[in-house]
Amino acid sequence: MKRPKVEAFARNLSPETTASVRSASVQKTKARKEILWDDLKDVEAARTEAARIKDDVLDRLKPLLLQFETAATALGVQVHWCVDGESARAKILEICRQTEPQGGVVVKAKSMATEEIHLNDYLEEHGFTPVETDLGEFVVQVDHDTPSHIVTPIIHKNRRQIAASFAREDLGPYSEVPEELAMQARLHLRQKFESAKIGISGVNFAIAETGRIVLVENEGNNRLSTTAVETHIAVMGIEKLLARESDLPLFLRLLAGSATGQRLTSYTHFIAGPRRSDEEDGPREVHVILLDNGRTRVLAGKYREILRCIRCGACLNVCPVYRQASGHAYGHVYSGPLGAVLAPALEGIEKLGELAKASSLCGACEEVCPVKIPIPRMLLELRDEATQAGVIKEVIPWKAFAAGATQPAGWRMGLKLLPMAKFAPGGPAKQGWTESRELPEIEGRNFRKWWNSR
Amino acid sequence: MVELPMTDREKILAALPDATAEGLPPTEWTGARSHVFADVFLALGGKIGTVSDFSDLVAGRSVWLDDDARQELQSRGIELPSNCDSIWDAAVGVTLAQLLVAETGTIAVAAGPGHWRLASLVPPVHVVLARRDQEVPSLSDAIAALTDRTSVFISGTSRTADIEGVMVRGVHGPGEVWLLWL
Repeated sequence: MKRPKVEAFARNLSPETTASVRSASVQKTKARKEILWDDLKDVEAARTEAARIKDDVLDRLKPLLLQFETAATALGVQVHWCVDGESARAKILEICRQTEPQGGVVVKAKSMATEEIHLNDYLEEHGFTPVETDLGEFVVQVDHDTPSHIVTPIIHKNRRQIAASFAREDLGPYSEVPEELAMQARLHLRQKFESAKIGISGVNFAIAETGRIVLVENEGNNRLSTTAVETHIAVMGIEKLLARESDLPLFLRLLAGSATGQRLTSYTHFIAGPRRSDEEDGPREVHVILLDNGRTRVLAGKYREILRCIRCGACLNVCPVYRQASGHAYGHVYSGPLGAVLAPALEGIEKLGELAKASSLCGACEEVCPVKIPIPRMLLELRDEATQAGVIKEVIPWKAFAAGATQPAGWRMGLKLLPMAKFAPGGPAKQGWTESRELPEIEGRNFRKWWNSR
Repeated sequence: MVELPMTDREKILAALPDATAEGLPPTEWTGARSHVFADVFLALGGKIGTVSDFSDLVAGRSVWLDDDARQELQSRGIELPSNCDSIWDAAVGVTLAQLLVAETGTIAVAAGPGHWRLASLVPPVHVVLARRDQEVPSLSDAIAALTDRTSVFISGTSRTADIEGVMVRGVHGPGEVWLLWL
C-alpha cells in the first residue's frame, strides 16, 4: 500500500529516534504551559493581542518596511531587498567578498531563513567556510545532517550519537556527558569567533519605528557571531516586523515562553547599527537582507495568517504527527504544522501539497500558537487545493462513497451490504482502516424498516 | 525607450498592497506577573553579593573592566589590576548595569564609550555592578528606557539544552554571572 511520504518516513524511523523526539516534545510542551500559565495573568488575552498586532503588521507591511528601511539606514545599517533565494545568496556573497575578497570563515548563528535559501552550500561553493555556532546546528553540520526542529535542531539525536560524531571529528576524548561535549564544542568554536571577520544571523523582530533588530538566544553564539566580527549580515523574512518597540514585551514573553518555557532567553540583543566612532567594539558594518522568497504571494492569498508566525516551534512540539514522524519526515526546513502550511504556500502546491495530509486535524497546534494561526482551517483549504490540482489523489473508496452517497438507489444498496463489510476481502483501503481500528459491529435493525413498520 | 528592469526593491514594493502608515494605537498589554528581581535572578543561576566582595572574586584572575566600572571601583578605593592584553584571555569581565528588570531577572547592559560589548560575553565570568535604584518593575519599563545604543538584556547565564534536554551552562557566553550591589 502506497503511504503518504510523512507516514512512510515515520514507519521507517528507529524507535530510538522516535523516543528522543517524543520525550523532548512532551517536555517542551509542559515547560511552555507552566511558564505561560504561571507567569502571564491572561494567556488568552496575550495571544489575542499578539494576533491582532501581527495582523496589523501584515496589513501595513509596505509602509512599515519603508519606515524600517529609513530608520535602519539612519542608524548606519545597510538595507538590501531580495526578491528570492537566488538574489539573496548573490547579495550575501557580494557583501562577504567586500570584507574578505579571498574568501574565509563565516560564523553563523542559527537562522531558518538562511536554511530556507540554502545559503551554506552556496557559500562553500564560492570560497567561504560557513561554521554553524549554535551547538545543535554545529552537530547538524559535522554530521552533514539537517535540523529536525526550528528551535531545537537535534532532538532526534541522543548523547551517544553526538559523542560518536565529536570523537570522529577529533574534538576531544570520547565522552557521553553533555557538559563535556558542550565544552568541546565551545573550545573548538571559540577560535572561530576570535578570528572570523564575517558573521551571519537571522532576525527575530525588526522594529519599524526605530530601525533596530532584535535577536534572542540562550548560548551566546548569536551575540558573538554578530559582535566579534567586522561585518554582520542579518537575514530576515519581510514579515518579521513589529511596528513599535512597545510591542516587544508581549512578543518577547510569548516567544521565550512558547519556545523554551522561559520568561526570556538568556540574551535579548537589541542591535542599533554598527559600531559607532566612540565605541570600543562591535561590527563596522551591519547589513539587513529583507527576504521575500514567496511571502508577498502568500500575503495576497488564503494562507496569509501563516505569516504571523514568530517561529516559536510550539506547534511542532504539541503535534502528534510531528512527535511520531520527526521534522525530517516533512522534507523541508519548516516542518510540523507550521511547515505543512508554509512549505507548500511558499514553494507551491504541486511540490509540497501532500504535506497538508500530515495531520489528524486535532487542532492542538492552533491552541498553543502564540499568534493564534488557524492552522487546521488552512490545512483543509490546502487539501482542497491540492486535491483539485491532482497532487492529493482521492482514494478509490472515497470515489465509491461519493458515487453511492449521491444516488438514492446506490445508498440503499450500500446500507443493505454494510453488515457484510467485515467479511469483505482486505485491500489497501480496508487495511488502512483496520490497521489501528476494529470495524464496528452492526447491531440492531435497519432504521428505515423499523420506522416504516411502526 | 528601453525600460530598465525593476530592482528587487521595486518588485517587492510593487507586490505589496498600499496601506496607510497609521496603525493600531500602542498596545497596553501589561499582562505579566511581577516578581522580586533577586528571586528571579537567583533562580536563573545568577549570584548576588556586594561591591566589597569584588576583590575576592577577581583575586589572582585576569580581568577586563569597562572604563566606567573601573572608575566606580577606584572611587571606592578598591585596588584594580589593569586590563589583560586581550579580552579573549580575561577570566572575568566587569561592567556596570544600565538597568535591572524585576519581572524577568534581567540585567540590561548598553554599548557606549569606554564599554566593550564583549566584556559581558567573552570572559567565562561576568561581574555586574548595580545600584538598587536601577531596578525597574517590568520588561515594558526596561524597553521604554532603551537608549539609541545597541544593548543586551542578560537573563541569567549562557545555557543550552540541545543535548538530550540536559541543561549545560556557559556554552559560549559566561557560565557565571555575579551582581554586586554598589
